Amino acid sequence: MTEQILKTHNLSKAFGGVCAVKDFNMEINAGRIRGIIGPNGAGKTTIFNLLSRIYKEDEGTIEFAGQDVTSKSQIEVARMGLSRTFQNTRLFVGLNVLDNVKVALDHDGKYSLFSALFKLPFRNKQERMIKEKAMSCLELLNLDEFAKLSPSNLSYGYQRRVEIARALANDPKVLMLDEPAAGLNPEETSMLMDFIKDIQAKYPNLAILVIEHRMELIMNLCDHIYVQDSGLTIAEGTPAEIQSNPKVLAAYLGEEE
Amino acid sequence: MSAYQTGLIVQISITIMTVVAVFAMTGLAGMFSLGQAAYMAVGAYVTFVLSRFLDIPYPITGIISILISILLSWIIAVPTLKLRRDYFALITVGFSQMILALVLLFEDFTRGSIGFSKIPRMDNLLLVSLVGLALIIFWIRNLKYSRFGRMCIALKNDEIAARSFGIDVYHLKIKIYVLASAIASFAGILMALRNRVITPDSFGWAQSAEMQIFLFFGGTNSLTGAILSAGGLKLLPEFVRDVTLFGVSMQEYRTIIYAILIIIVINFRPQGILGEKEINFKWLKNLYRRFKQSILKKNESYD
Amino acid sequence: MALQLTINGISIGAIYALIAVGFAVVFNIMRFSNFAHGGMISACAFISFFFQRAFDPPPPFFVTVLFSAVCGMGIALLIDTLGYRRIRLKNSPKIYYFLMSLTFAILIEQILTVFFGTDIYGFPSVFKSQTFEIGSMIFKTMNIVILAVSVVILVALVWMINKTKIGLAIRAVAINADTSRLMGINSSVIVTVIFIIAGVLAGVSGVFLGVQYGVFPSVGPSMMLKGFIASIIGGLGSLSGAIFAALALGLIEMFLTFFIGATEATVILFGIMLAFLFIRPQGIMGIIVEDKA
Repeated sequence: MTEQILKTHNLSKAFGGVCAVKDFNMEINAGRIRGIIGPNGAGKTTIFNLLSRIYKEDEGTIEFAGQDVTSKSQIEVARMGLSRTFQNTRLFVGLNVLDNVKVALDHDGKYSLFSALFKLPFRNKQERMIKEKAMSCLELLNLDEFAKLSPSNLSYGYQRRVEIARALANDPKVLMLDEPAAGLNPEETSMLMDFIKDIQAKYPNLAILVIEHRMELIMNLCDHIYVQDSGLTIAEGTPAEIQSNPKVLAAYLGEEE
Repeated sequence: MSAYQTGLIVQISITIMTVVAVFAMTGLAGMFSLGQAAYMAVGAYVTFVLSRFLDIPYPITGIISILISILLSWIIAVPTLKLRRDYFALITVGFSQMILALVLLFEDFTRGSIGFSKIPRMDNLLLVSLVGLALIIFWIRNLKYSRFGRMCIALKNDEIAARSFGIDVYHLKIKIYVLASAIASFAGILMALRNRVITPDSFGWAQSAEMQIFLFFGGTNSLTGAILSAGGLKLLPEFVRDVTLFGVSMQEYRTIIYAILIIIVINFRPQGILGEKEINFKWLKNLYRRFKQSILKKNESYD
Repeated sequence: MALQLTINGISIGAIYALIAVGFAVVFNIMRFSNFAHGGMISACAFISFFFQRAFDPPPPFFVTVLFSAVCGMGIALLIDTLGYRRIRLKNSPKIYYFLMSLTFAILIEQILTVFFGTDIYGFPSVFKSQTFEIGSMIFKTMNIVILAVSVVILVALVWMINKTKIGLAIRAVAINADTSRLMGINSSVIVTVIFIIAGVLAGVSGVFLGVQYGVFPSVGPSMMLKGFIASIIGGLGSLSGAIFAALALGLIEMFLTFFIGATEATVILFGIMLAFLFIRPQGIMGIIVEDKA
């Protein structure tokens, strides 16, 4: 159970001379939730983009599922089971909720373009399997009633959930949530927090990494927190340790004016 | 059926075929190509020039020409689709220009701008066109509702998000582009058989642009929209053949009218006439049900 | 011989540079490929042709160029108002700009075709003496004039973008439109300025193309392709790259045409462009335009 699924060593990235992330070290075990907090512009999303290989790092290494993934592409790490959501919901317009979840399984689909064009029996069988898997994912997260709806007809809170369901469809090893509560009202936020805890219960081997800039959200969700400010890790530890850390308070009080 | 009517039906089938192929490429995968007419040229020229000079029956050279189109489109796609979308559109314009330059260059075989006219007559062209059209529509419909179609729609919306679900955007785009180009070259062969003559100026980038205009008019997200708008807009000028304006037949204004229509559509209804709707059996059933309900409601109010 | 070919090549290259830059300024700010540019060039070629013929004796050449530039500006602003404004206000996807610019290119070309046919109209001769001699070498007056005017315009444009306040604002919007808006740059003013620049460039290159190749409806679109190739080789989004690439392109084309043939030259130029994309997609200036994450 204490297997380290994702680990970084001295991860650094600068944009045009401005350092976005400097010497970031973290690790996360299967079945745990860890958080990264920090004010806006602290380099949190950059860390996610580095982990999911959208950006190439300047220095440092990333180890995922026992392999060095620094030379791998975004597609490869995604297929290895590193799944994420985006800061602004990025559900695919033009696909309904069910199709949005299916898309996450589609790269792994077994039928060829040829059998797709001719609608061969093998394609139909595979399509049924994809549909069943996507439906069971929606059912597990109690979203099955929305399957046929267009995502734009859902409330923002539910769009977030669908996005998370989509990220979970392919049984990832790590789920990264980029500011899951951004743009949600307090009621939706607390529902979303329960939703994430529910996921932890239903996917016991999943490691979850959450980015937030609001401290109170992350405190009762994570068992271990990294605090980022201007690209640097200024503190790390349990929520209790973080809350009493003077550096963290300074960074946050400074930000809140 | 008169020869005129047969010719018209074949012509419209060809247009719909090309627009359906463009639907797969632009509507599903978001690739904006202006070189599809060039693949029609490849289909037409390679088939009939080879057939004539090597003395091979044209069905065989037809297959060769489609294979050549596949190869060409692959060569274009491999370096270009790695880059931003803008490059792709520009390269395809350049490509179509290059194909036409090649036609002029091999004047001895293609007869250059005079036009290659030694094309055999095909007796059951109407049947072949309609069967071909039906097959192509069947394919692209199946494509839309397959895992490939879903992945295309995803990558059209958001390539980075699509990649984060393991979708190999690059290779998927290549596949779809090659498929669309193969269909275009097939349509080119039919067009040569219909017109019995091929000239380079019927395959310029403006012809490719016309396909895009038809697609956007119907709605980029709707296959039936693309089919209806391609058929409708192609048919429209036939009704106004005898009308003249400033001493010029309305038929000449055809492209101008298309252009004005699309400017209006994009300004006021950018999703196209049909938007995302597909006209299928279910849609018709819903329409009927709504129609019945409205009648029932009316009757109730009379009671 | 070689020197004359070089001068001719650079002079053609200078026209390509005007086209490539007109295309690149719009691309830099609006991030779409403005196909309508070719249509604008054709329209201006026709306008200047009829303007030049309307008077007897014909007006001085610089008046025609000026008139054409003003008309180009007007057409560009008209296209922006009818075509792009609503798309911009609605923040629609880029593909709509693309289609719109294409539609305007076709619209203009078709209007010209319907009313003037596809014949090539020869531009009336502009200068009393077509050529002049320096030592034993003969130069075409027009080539030198084109070269001089293009250089002045391009230098003025580069100066404006690099040294003036409005140029600074243009560069800021090109780098990041959202941030610039936050910094108080009025982006709709910038867009108008951009279309004025593009229109002027289209007007001037329209006259020059008309003089060099004759006036016909597809003169703009067919030459615009060379501008495209130049901006790709130069690196999409780099003005100086586009200018250098355009000049080089004109030279290469001139020599290829002279030694091999015009049709072969088109094929070879396209081959060069494709090879560039394979080997160095970022263009000679090394700027690769990528979508934001």
